[in-house]
Amino acid sequence: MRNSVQDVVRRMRRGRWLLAFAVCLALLIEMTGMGSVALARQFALDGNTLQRGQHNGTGQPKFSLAPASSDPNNPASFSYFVLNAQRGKIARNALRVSNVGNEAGTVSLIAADASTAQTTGLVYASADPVKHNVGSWLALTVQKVTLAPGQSQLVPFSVYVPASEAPGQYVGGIIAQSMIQQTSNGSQSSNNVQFQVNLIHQQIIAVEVVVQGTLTQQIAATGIRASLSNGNQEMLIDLSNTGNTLVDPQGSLSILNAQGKSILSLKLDLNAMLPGAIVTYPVMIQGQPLATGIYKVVLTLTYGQNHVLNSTATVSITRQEALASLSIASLTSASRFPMWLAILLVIGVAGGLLFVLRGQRVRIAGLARRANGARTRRERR
Amino acid sequence: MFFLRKNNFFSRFLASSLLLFLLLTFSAIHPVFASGCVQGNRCASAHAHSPNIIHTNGLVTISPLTLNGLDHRMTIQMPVDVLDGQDNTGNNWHVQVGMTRLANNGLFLPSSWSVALTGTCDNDSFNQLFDCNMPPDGSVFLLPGQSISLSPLVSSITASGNTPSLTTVISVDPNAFGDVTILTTLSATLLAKNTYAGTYSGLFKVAVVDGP
Repeated sequence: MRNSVQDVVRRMRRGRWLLAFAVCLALLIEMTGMGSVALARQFALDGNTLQRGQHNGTGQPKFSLAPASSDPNNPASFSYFVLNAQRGKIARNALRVSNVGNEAGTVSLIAADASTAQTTGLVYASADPVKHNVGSWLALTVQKVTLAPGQSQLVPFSVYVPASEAPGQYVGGIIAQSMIQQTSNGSQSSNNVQFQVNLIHQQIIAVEVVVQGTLTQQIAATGIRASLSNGNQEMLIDLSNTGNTLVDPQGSLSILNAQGKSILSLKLDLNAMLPGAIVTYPVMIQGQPLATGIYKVVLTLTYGQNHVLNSTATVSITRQEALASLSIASLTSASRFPMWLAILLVIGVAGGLLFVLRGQRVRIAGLARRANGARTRRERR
Repeated sequence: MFFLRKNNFFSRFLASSLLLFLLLTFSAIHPVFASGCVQGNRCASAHAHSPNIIHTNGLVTISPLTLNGLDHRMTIQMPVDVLDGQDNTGNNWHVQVGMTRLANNGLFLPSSWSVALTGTCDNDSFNQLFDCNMPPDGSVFLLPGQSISLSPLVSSITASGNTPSLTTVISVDPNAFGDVTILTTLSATLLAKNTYAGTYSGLFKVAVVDGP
């Protein structure tokens, strides 16, 4: 009897070790957020298994575009074209198209203008019939290239800059394009949604033309205002590139309350902006939405060679903007289980389990004592 | 000492914490050392072989859909496989996507699609790139087969027009390299009340840009 009671107690001690370890593990997972990351990775891997099976199979052409010649002093010229050009003269270079895949393939080559997207960064218009600068200056000698596996071909091209063009940086691109038609292969049922899509694949290599003359780096912020986007507060910054060179502004947006106290600072990392570009750049207000009131917004952007843009604006958050974003925020926070509550719950459950185990241990020890007493009494008799 | 007494729960808690701390520390050491392979031997071979980024075409995947009177969440996945050999050339590359509105004889599917991104490190035997410093800035190190969620530059894109307008979903700086698959997932809710069966057609565009 005594041995069996001791065995039970021993097992319970082992169980407490396990419990302690489990509590530590749960706390650590919750505190570091490892749980959600691990889950996200698992889903990502599951999602990609099918995808990679479809497109990474054998029998695919793989095209690489590269400049045939580059400037050793300009690292960027190894990955895309950077041409120094004079007005009224022709600059020449060549594109190397390589097929490093294991199947033959054909690509169309198209010259295109670049433009600045609304959220900054350059986009290239392949279908635009009217070209304005680099797209119209660029003349490719070949419009279509078919290559066997391992083969490469040089495609010479020229860029003629009209005499009337102003000095500055201009950007266009050469697009290598292929098209695939895809049809969904579901059953033809009366309540099915089927798809037939054309898929255009483009690999684009930029052609930056620097027209000689005085280059200026300058951007201007013409306005900052509050707005709502899908129920989220955001600040819209009106920016324009008033110089004649490309810029990639970086900096911050600070929001101060009526007392001048900083309540929010957001990092800004904009992409390329072409000369003459005008964008309205959205900056999402993260965390707690701003309440109704007047705020001071300080914009600081660095760009080019140590240029700094400082701009200050007064922004008012209307009752409608505050209420709309607040309802979204409360919905979001209500749907999420707070971490502190999870930790408290884990500690509470662990404490409760310990209390129960301790009670059982005391009860078992009492039983053991009573059993010992009874045995002693029997022996005395 | 009080907390080292036999059978003390607190001592077990401390011991367990220490064990977990050591486990986590050692699991974190590997990537820290491995990310320094920029100057290492294995990456040096990649520098020598890869002249520029190489882009492989991927097919678009659209989730199958059978209407049953309920709202549906529809997803479209657009993969691109990019091999960035980190050849010390200052490669900046960008992934851009665009689509026209899916249409069927005057019936349309939604025009606004939310954007999510996943990056997977692939195993590229051609360039002997067996690991990845992941986009957008190379700060996350992954081994082949591992994936990570990436932050898209935009939260949604709009399907419109006869020709897709491209939107940049990720911009990658020169510190990132490896053979990676960027999977762009677009999703939208199809409301039962205005979604009809039939064959919808549209035009999708996926671009990889080497440029500023």
